[in-house]
Amino acid sequence: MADSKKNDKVNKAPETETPVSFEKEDIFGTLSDMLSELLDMPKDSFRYDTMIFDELPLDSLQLYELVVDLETKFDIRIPDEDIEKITTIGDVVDMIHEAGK
Amino acid sequence: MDPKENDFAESLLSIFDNVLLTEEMALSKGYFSDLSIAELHTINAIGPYDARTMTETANILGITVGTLTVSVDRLVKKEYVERQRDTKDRRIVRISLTRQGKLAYRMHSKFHRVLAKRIFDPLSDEEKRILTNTISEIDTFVKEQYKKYSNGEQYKKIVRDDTEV
Repeated sequence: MADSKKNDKVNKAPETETPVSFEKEDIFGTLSDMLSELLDMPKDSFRYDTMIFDELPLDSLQLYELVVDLETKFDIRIPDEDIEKITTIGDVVDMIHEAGK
Repeated sequence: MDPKENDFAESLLSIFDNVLLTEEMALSKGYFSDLSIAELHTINAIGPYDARTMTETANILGITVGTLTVSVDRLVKKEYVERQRDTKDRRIVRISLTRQGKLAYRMHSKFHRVLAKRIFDPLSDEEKRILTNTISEIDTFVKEQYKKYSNGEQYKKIVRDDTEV
């Protein structure tokens, strides 16, 4: 019993924070993961040119869930004025990519 | 009293009442039905980003730290707010919004933005300019009145002076 506890500790991943990537591909991947979870849709349902408000069944609360989660994940701020400029998933990727510069 | 003044006074009163009523309705029928308007305003004062101290937040709201503590206790229980101790000075407690708190903040500010947009959109640029200036003057004036009451102790005298035309 005592031994297995010890092993658990050793096997535990080191608690270093991996820096988030601001590469467009990676941002798109993270965004697809979040949308897939939020909307319960397969990950490959999303493209760069997917129209967020026209093609996805995203209500206003879900939109803010996505925004708050992106802000936390990438440590950025997304004001409402910027959200109003968004049309496609690619716009969101570009916005986050710019914020990471 | 100028009949126009009368209409203006009635409209002002009606705006105060109806904005609050609409906000309350939106809250009770919406996603955050467990929040009161006062709690929502506390969430607003804490803000979605940097953690704030209790004193800073109390100052923004114009209330005492004691009153804020009661509200924050409730919000912590409802999981909208979390407390953290400062890593350097353990005596300092900071408060910030949880994910749920941030969502309530954003939905609430969206409510006000939509309200403002609907009032603003049908106006011409010149009308927008005049309205923005006038509203800002009203805001400053009302804030000054509020300050008088929160600083002074002779409330009755202030009320007497204010009601004299």
